[in-house]
Amino acid sequence: MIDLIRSEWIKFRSVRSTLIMALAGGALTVLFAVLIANDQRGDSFRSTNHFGDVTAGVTVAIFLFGTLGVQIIGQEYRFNTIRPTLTAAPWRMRVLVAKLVVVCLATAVVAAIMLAICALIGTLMLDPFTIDGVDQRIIWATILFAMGWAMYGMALGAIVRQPIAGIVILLIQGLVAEPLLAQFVKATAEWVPFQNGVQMTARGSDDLFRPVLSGGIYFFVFTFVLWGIGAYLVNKRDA
Amino acid sequence: MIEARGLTKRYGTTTAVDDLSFRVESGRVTGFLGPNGAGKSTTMRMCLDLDRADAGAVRIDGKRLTDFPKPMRSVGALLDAGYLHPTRKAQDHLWALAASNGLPRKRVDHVLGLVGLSEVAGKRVGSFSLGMKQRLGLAGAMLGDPQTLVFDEPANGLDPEGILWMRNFLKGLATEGRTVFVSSHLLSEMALIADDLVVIGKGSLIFEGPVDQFVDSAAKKWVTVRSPQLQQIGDALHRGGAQVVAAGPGAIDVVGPTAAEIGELAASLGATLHELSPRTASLEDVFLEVTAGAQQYRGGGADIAAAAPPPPPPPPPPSASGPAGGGAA
Repeated sequence: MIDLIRSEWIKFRSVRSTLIMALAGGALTVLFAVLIANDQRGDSFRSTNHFGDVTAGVTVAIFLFGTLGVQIIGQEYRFNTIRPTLTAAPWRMRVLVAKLVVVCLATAVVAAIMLAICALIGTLMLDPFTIDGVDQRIIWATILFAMGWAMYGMALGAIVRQPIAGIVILLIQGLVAEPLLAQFVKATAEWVPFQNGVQMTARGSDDLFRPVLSGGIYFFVFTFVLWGIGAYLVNKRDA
Repeated sequence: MIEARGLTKRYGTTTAVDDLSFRVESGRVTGFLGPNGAGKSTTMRMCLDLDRADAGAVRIDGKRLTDFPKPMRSVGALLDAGYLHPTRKAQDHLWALAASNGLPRKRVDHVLGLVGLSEVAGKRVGSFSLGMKQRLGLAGAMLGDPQTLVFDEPANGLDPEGILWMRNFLKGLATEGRTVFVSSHLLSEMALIADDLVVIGKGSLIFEGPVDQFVDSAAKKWVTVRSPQLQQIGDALHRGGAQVVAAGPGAIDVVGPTAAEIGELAASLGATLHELSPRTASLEDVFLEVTAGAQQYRGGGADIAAAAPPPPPPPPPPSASGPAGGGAA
């Protein structure tokens, strides 16, 4: 398994698009943090500034992490490199798990770094700046959600086997379909995975969706089921 | 050794491979032939467990591919030179494959040298020519120094020098005792490389065995004779029961007697011979003949036989028999 993870890591880091996507995710979050901190600095009515206030760019970054998940499997099918991959390592489930480990660890590391930079920006630009218990939950939840959304993307990539299609579905689902559905058909709000999962990363929860804990659990259950379907299809279909 | 038993693959209502069984022996190059759409590539992918067989199984040295703890050390394959990520460097492509089987980094450098790509190891493969990609694919197949090699159209995109290199390379692998299973559309090339053949048509086995046996099984043999005394020789051959056909100015093709028998006959007649050439149909002739009923895709209008090389001479009708130049057919 270690060999497979090493192999997947080499593939991950040796392709431009995945590196650009990972770095862009981190950079966008930091940029948002700077802009928000700059805005809040001029707000004389604020008695305190929380860490969770400057991490609004996380949602954008998490979308990019989702596309990383799509790419790690979708590109293999797009360029047919899945065939040499599975000839060298014909154990499909193990290969998928190795890909999952790599994409989740990579997103976790980038997410952790971008959160650390956000904290640094808050400390340098805002006074007073605090990291309370809720902020600590946001830190862990953001890292977890980034990993989960990358896993979600990978599941979509395994199902559609086309990176562009997978990314389009991911973006439309998270940015258009789920918000619209939740707004106009309120009964569906607690069943849309991305919007419920994103509650974990916010300071205040939206009453339309599930509370933080159950929203997070629902998102991960949904994601694991979707990943299981993707893995089943990869295992069953011709490579 | 590769052993396929009862391989079957269906796509909806179409049966691409139908109960196909064959063996590929070690120490020999086995060519895999069939018309377009015969199921060659599908069969090769099933051999590597990339396509799921609806029935049947493939064993490589008695094992399934998944049973090998380090598959690349036992089986190497090149199915298509284009199976590369264009923005990945050649060395990274190989290094990722090598790492999946715990192979050392030095194997990457070794195989890059083997296929002559050391100088472009750090370049992204999107800029490679088809021939370079083919060599990179070969390098990937050789990474684990495997006992069994599966190649689908390995000469695609190679220049004449590359084809010669490939020919020697494949023969060298078989000489080392490895199992080499290779498909190609270049029948003349296959005639030079292969020891054995597996020929399929419409997903079913047509022939399995040595190349010589394949050619002998279907090909007719004849002798081309040129002589200033052609009519005299032709008459004598015809009287002896041979089939004699005109083969251009001053030449006849003779079916029946061997070149030695014709030479002795000519000597007994005191005739001078300018040519006495035993001839056999080529692998291509035989292939076209035996797969004529199994062609799935043909060019519009023209019959496939029309595009084939001229067949050996047919037996002349008794009334028209006789030497060339004397009204012989």
